Amino acid sequence: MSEKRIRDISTPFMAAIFVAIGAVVIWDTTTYTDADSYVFPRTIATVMIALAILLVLQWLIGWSPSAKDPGIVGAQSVPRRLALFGSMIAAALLMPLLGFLGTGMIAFAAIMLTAMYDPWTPYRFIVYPVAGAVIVGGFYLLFARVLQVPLPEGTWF
Amino acid sequence: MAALENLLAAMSPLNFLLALGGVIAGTVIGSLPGLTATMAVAVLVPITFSMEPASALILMGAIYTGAIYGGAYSAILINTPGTPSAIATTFDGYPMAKNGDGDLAITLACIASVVGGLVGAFFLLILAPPLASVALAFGPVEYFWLAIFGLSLIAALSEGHLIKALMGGCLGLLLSSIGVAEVSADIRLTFGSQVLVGGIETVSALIGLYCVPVLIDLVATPDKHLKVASESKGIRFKEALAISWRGKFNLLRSSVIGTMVGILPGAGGSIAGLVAYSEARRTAKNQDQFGKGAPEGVQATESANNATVGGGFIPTLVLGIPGTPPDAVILGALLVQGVKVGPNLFTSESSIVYTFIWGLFLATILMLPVGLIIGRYAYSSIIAIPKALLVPTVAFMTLIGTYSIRNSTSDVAIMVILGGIGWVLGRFGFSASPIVLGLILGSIAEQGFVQAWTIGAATENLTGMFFGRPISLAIIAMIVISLFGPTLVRLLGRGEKEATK
Repeated sequence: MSEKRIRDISTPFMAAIFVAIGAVVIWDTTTYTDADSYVFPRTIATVMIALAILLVLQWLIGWSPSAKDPGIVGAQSVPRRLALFGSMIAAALLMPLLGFLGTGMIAFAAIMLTAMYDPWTPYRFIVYPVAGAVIVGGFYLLFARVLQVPLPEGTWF
Repeated sequence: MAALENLLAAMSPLNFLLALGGVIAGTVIGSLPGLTATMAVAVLVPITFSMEPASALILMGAIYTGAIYGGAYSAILINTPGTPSAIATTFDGYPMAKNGDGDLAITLACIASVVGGLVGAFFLLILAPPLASVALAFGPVEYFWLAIFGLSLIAALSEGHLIKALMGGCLGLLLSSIGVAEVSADIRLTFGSQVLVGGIETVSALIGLYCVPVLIDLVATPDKHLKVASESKGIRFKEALAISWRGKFNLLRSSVIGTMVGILPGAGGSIAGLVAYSEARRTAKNQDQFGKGAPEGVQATESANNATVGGGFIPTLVLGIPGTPPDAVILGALLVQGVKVGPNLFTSESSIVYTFIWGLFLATILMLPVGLIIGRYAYSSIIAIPKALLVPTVAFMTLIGTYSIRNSTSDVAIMVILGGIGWVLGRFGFSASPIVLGLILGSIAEQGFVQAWTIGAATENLTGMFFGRPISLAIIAMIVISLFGPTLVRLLGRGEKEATK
């Protein structure tokens, strides 16, 4: 086995995840009462498992096209990626509690700090937060007042 | 003479202003991820209740056509389709923008949208009653095969990883079956969670799968979002016009595909764009450029999705069956107005219908200057905004856009989680597009499959049901050509080369 394939353990790992998803789907379909409900997901899950097995076979034989090297992540900022994802998840979870406007402001500020690479000059220190407040406030007014979307008000305040 | 009167009525100052305002409003709303053309029409429909029916139709048609085009902006500039119709625009539009040709891509999209819109309106004007019968010829099995045809595009999007792309497509199909089953109402794949009972909302899923990974990658480096040319090239209209002229057959073919798919109730702009993209790629000489920034890809999608506007109005006005979701809203508004749609509409209320069709032509033509001006502004804004403001703005738009679809915070959480999953899968060679294709086409495929299966089983003719109907056979032939055509051509070409040697 070549060194490259020894390193590429991602392919069997991902295949195993897809097989597991397919197995869970097939198990879930056993609880459905109507054949119309389970025919489609069961067929698709079976096909997906078969494809995952085929992928592993391809990997074993060495025909698999090389996967992207996940190691490239290390050259970029992992903490910033996690911070962005965490900020968005936190915004989704806090929305019912803090209300849309409050959550939007906090999420905007957190993501702005995450995406900031330039030095904080006095100009940026003033303009960026003001721009953020205008953007969030403007969209809030557009959706809540003009488009009449019932945005969450929050239960904490 | 009557045609001239209707044309003049459509050109009245009020109707002109309504068409202009509708196109501007539609374009702006359509460019915001999460706000679909259906929403744009639905939100603005109450304004039309006090208008004359023809004026109301012109305004709604203009909003609709503008919104379908507007979806291209965010698809090209931030890899997030503003509306589902613009999904396939991301395939080549975003790579073009990343290569510094975002301005060209937007202008190409604008020209293609205008051409598509005009072709759709032309079919509506000339051939509406006979074409409406096409919609009636499509049964469940034809819808099933049409969805499979859309899924065959996965092969084109596989980027050398066909098995992974097919696995992604399967994952999308499974995601589409979460929630209450449409045919039998069983609760599927929710694992006891109330959050998942409503299923995964398609638009929020595609916002997550397309946009969140881009944001995650944007914050990871200090690099600029899009490559910017050293000197401003303006809207590059002449260049775009020359490319459009070279791709005139692609534009026309895609526009006709868009019109035909638009006629089919429930199919919509996303399927039209995908089918047209697939055909453009299949017939192109530079197939390897597709997915890397081929202008033909943008042209095909944008002309097809705008052609669905005119196409969708055909069954709506002739049969009273809405061709696309926004048509359903417009149909409702017409009923409020007291206009009785149906085969007699073109004779009994011809002045309303033909004034509207001319108004649709007008709105589509107005889309050219409006689209180019807004497009240039959108492009220059996106490249000028510092990353520290662009990323939170786009992230905030995804949050508010997703929430507003069903007023659900659960949808927002699902959108972000799907985005995270999409990013991880992307790292391992599973691209988002096959998953999205499966998600969008899943319900159409399942519904068509189950209904056709039930009818076939009841009549004891399953094989005949799936493989014995002429339209089905034509679509199956197209699927086979789409899947295996490029490989066969390549093999034949290789054989010829070896023979020459």
